[in-house]
Amino acid sequence: MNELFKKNIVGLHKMLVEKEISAIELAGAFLNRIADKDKSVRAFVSVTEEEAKKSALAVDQKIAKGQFIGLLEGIPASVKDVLATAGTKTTASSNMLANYVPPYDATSVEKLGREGLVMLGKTNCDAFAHGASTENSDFFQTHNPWDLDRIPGGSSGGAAASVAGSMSVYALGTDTGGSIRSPANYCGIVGIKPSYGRVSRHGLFAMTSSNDTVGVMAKNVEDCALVLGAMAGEDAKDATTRRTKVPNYHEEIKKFNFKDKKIGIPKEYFGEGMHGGVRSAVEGAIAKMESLGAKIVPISLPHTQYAVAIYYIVTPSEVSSNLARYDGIKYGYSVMSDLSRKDQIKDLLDVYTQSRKYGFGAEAKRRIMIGTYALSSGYHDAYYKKATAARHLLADDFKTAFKSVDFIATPVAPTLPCRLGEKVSDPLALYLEDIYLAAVSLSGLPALSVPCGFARDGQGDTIDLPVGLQLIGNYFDESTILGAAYHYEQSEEWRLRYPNI
Amino acid sequence: MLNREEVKHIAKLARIDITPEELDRFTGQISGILEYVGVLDKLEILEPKTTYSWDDFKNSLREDVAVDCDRPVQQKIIDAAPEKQWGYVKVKSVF
Repeated sequence: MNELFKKNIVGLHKMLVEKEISAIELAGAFLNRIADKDKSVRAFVSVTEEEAKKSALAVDQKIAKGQFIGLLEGIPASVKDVLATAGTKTTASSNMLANYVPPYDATSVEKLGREGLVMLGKTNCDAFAHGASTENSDFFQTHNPWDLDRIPGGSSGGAAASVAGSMSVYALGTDTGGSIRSPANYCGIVGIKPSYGRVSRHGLFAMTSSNDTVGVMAKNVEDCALVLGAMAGEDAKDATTRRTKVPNYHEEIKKFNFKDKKIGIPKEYFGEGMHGGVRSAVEGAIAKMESLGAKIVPISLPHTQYAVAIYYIVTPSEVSSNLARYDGIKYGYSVMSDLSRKDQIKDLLDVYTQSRKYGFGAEAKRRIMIGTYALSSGYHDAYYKKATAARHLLADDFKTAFKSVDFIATPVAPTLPCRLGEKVSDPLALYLEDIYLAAVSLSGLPALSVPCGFARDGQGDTIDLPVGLQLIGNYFDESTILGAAYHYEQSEEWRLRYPNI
Repeated sequence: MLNREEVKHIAKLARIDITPEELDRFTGQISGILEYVGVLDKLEILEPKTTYSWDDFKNSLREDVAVDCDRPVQQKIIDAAPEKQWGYVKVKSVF
């Protein structure tokens, strides 16, 4: 692979400033790679070549005039297709929004646009971000660049595959119950989900409003720190964002030192059912951090066993409410603009039921219906109210733990990525993949996945698959987990391996 | 466990027309998921709290004043609707 695709943001910035390459050439190199490699990976729902070249040209004009350019200026990246991009189709990988062009930018996209983002395209995901494998996309499957027969994880599977396949330098993703950490883990890259309220959700197509976060995925921790810093901060368009000052993550990560740091290891996250290769990679990483000076502290998060159950009540409940907006009236798929079906529509109720019938895929329908049930009269107390109350107990577990540790280390998933189609007919099996991810989301905490080794799935398998380590931080303390991940990453050489596509 | 009639009723509440095949599949799958989340029945919560926030943060709200929407944006929003007339979104009759 061309050395250009191995550079980090600072390295590419240096090349741009020293005129070793122009922004338009850089964008062109990535667009060519997408044209070549995305035929087999299928990370992109749409490639925005014209917009990318236009943004790159603007950067080149600044450079030609001798003007200062920021670190992110001219750096090619992808955006998950659940983040609104003004004038560019944003589909949520769903038939419902297959032709939807938003009139506005998501705040995260707008902020990066001001920093000189060169957007290469929009990436595939599980429709409306409902899933952990990207197989729930209404359009097509995305393949894991390490083994094209396997899932990339999800729901930000296209985002992760675009980075792992060196088809973008970084990717914007979203994480509601693991959607950044799961694909980052399976694709062997770094992905951070910030604290709830750290990055504006404005323009993120709402799934579970009390959990949704926008985050970033890249090949290394430093790139993630840079992009997160540019997106974070208060936004008048999202009332849950905090005024708290955004630290300079890029500087903070270098100052971090493992000496005198206490790492919590929750026993509930190392139970039965974990793949041996995953276990040894994660335990190896913990031992490495200990050898770098950290102190290992066994902890307990006693309500962990309830996390997935709580998540799969809270999530569908909010989904059923959030997806009620897709009614065939305002935007998105409508039977009224479908000439083959329009004639059978008698009244308003038909418009709703038929538009939703054809616009939603199976998983969206399942979640809407579970949520409708959990919120319905007679069942609300037993399901939704119970889950909301139980959610406090999960958060309290973490609060107690953070009194005695600086951050927590766990696996990201119990297994390696499964083969495409292996679990698609059994939604519960895929829900259980979220076992190490859901509690963190329900508590609003920041967490990341950083590569910590490779393993082979079964006997006779010849392909090394990446394994990630999850670091969970205290509320609004992204600096500590980014710093720890950065120093761990630099002490190993996992980042120097690339998938052969 | 849910039966087919109950799932049919939920689909009606959710405003989704489902096929008989979907009804069969969803009845099994949704029942399985509800059975799994039933693990929460074992959890006794002494003082249940119903709203969740990590700390005592209150949403930062702007002043309650009308903010105008740009004409061109307004037009784009109307354009996105499948049926429109005289600058309004048009809907089918309720009855």
